[in-house]
Amino acid sequence: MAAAAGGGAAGGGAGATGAGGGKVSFKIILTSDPKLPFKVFSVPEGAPFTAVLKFAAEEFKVPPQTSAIITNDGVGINPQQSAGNVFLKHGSELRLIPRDRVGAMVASF
Amino acid sequence: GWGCAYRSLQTIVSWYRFQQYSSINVPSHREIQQVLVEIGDKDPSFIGSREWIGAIELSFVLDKLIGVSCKIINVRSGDELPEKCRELAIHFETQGTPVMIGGGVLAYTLLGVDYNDASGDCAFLILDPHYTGSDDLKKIVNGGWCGWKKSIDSKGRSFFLKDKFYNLLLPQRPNIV
Repeated sequence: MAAAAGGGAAGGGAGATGAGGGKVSFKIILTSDPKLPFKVFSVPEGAPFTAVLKFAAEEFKVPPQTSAIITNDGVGINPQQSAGNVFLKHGSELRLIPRDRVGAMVASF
Repeated sequence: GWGCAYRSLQTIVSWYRFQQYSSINVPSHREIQQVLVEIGDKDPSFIGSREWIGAIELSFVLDKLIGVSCKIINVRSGDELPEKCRELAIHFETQGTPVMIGGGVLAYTLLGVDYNDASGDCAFLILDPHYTGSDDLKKIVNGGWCGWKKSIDSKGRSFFLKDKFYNLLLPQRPNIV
């Protein structure tokens, strides 16, 4: 899987799919960092999106198990589908966010 | 003290039932866990556990059970939440679905916001998923289990934590022709 680091500014256009056995590219922004760094990942269309999530989290040095990927509009993406599917449905600009895990008592005011 | 987010999800499913968008039964905690295992987000050992879930898991379950999508707003600090009030107000005006807020270790269900355009002051109508009493509206309201909380109270304390990130889950109405 190829990855390229990028700065905080909005980058170029959407990734391209090749013809037959193509690849798709995602630009993934780390939202937990105020500088909004991003990296571009190029993967085969058929690759499971869970692998993209795992690789992106590792590249950004955040735990994959407590990370999730959403679109720029904030729509949640179930990683149990192919990268190609995600690209078609949601495009290439995505965000990596930390997962909240909650369940304790609410403090009353 | 582990099922808050599950209960928030139950409130949301209940909303879709009352609005007649769905006729599925409100899922139990176990059924919610089964869905997460079925879609591959959790291992089978998750079923029957007391593991906490959050906004992302709720979005997966709503997608699977009702077929609705959700928007997720992520803020790095509780201090940023009042800035989202206007966006939340628009959500309540256009979608009207209950919002689940997950952050720190707490889950809340948000039913409305009150936003002062001039001062930027805001308050949140919070439904506490911890209530275990009877379906007695008076008891629920008088006990503060459903009530308005200001983002900063009269003693200057913030309702949301500055050093925690929060995910807000905004379920969307289905597009029905």
